[in-house]
Amino acid sequence: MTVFRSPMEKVLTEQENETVVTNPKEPFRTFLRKIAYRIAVLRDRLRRSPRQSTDDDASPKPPRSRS
Amino acid sequence: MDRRCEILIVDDEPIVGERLLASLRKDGHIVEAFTDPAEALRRLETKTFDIVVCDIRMGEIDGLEVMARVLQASPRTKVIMITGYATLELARESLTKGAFDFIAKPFKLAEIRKTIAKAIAAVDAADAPAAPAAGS
Repeated sequence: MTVFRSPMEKVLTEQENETVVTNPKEPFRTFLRKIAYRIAVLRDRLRRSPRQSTDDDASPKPPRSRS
Repeated sequence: MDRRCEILIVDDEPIVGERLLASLRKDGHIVEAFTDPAEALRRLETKTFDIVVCDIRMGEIDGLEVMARVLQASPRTKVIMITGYATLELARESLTKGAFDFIAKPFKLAEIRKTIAKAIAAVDAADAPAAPAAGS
């Protein structure tokens, strides 16, 4: 846990943590590209998740042979 | 802060390096920032860092090449890739080639601080001597 020496230090640290780092030449386009990336990541996760669950249901692990 | 560690920042945008440098130094880390990847690679020949934060799209030398050189020289170093041109393919390529994490710009300082804390934990775990096997 972070210990602050004064309430002001806490406020300043919180403000600093909210500081956004971006490409200064084209901040809006960079933002749009990030949105597109996030959507692509979500789509990929959604596409993978049902397949994984159906794989788990459809193909149970073969029993181990005891020989 | 977990512990003091040595961090290298490589980004061709000076403002990115300046912001990260200021906040990470405030956290107690030893930080160096370069806008020229060739200069950063020369520095890497003389010094190893615990963590490298590297932009991907830069002039002649791109971030993936910098990462390859970093990991070749020091496999224990954790490389965090940052980019304003994030795609799923680029993220996959970075992680496959050995990046510790991939962060798309714009990001908040809190996000990179959290990632650096995780990277420090990973470096510490790798540096820690292996526990003796049970029963031996």
